[in-house]
Amino acid sequence: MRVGDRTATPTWSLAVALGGVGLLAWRLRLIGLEDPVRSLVLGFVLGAILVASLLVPVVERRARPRTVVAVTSAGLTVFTLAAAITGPRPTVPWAATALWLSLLAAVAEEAVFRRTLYGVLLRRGPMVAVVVSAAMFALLHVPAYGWVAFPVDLGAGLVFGWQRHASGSWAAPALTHVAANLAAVLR
Amino acid sequence: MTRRTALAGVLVAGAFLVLAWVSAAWSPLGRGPVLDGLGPLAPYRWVNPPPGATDDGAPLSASFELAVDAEGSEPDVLLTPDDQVTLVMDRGAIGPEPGLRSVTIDVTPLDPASLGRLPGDLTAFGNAVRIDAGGVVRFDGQVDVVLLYPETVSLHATRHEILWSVDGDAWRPLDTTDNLATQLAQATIEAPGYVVVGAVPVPHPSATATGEPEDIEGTSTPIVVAIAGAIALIGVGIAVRLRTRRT
Repeated sequence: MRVGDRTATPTWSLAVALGGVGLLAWRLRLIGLEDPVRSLVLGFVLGAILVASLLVPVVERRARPRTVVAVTSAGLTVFTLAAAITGPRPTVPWAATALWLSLLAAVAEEAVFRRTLYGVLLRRGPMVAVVVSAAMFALLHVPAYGWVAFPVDLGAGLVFGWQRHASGSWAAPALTHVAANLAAVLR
Repeated sequence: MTRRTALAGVLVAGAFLVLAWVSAAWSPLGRGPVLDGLGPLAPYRWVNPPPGATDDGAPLSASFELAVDAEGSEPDVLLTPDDQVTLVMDRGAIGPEPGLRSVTIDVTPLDPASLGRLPGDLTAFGNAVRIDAGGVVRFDGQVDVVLLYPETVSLHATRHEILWSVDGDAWRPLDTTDNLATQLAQATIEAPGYVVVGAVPVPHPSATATGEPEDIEGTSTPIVVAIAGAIALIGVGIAVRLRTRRT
């Protein structure tokens, strides 16, 4: 495993990760605000989370493109299987801005959970990094979706974490997450 | 990738499929490979829009033909064209009868003000909906109703529930799964009739002490906190980067 050129202080990296999680949770307070204000604020917040997470140096292996493609394909396959098992979901009339916001949300969430937070937790071992980041990802969505979301989002978080571990990069979970959100909005 | 990593991947995939099935069995709102995002929705379609509500056109009625065989009605997910009402019909929701080959399910949005008052302090969030099933008075299998509800600055709640009525007069609250992110409520109904989402309105976080939403250009709390928090987070990120360079 190649250590990045620089290593960040764990406490400050954790502060960015937890700050990102807190801001992601705050999105719930924006429900009810009308567009375009809501979309603009959401876009700014998600963009800020992404930028702040990318500023934190983390330990990453140099990912081989072939491995990233293979791990992403594996993730997409298991997500497709899960969609087939669970059956059709009630759809909602998304606003036009929901498409790009859901894509930005997927990338920002992966930057927080599978890049920054995972990077901090990796000092305790990959198992801890995968499980704790997945549990926090699932808990984040409970206030918005109810406890019914916890099992499926815990499972999704475990898959994303495994992808991060197997590929050595957060690109594979980000690509899978983007595809899943895209499918949900376009359905 | 090592053999051990690949094996871990198989175990994780298996665990994910089981967990996804658990959520899906819990509620139709738990279906999908991941429940994520808080994207804005299109404006709600009201039968009778309240003052100040964005009018996005009238809600749409729908009529569905459900095939019935020796085991009863076939399973299906019935969705109105405006995505505001979903009925999830399990196998045998309508029991078999000699000569019965199909049944028509009619979904009609109504103004809740034209029906009986909701109990307690509950206010109707959105339209009421009448569900007819071709003279069927009771479902024989599970039928879940999923209703989209509006969330605005002046009509806001943190907990919503579905109420059911056989005649549109006396309402009974149902055990409801509420999904704030997609503004959907789900409950199981035992018979056709009327359904509506009810909630006790509370002030939206952006409301002032007078109960009026603040001007967007003013100090609307959730917006200010979100923007200030986002700027602060970038500041911490820059500090981490600079600190790392020095060490």
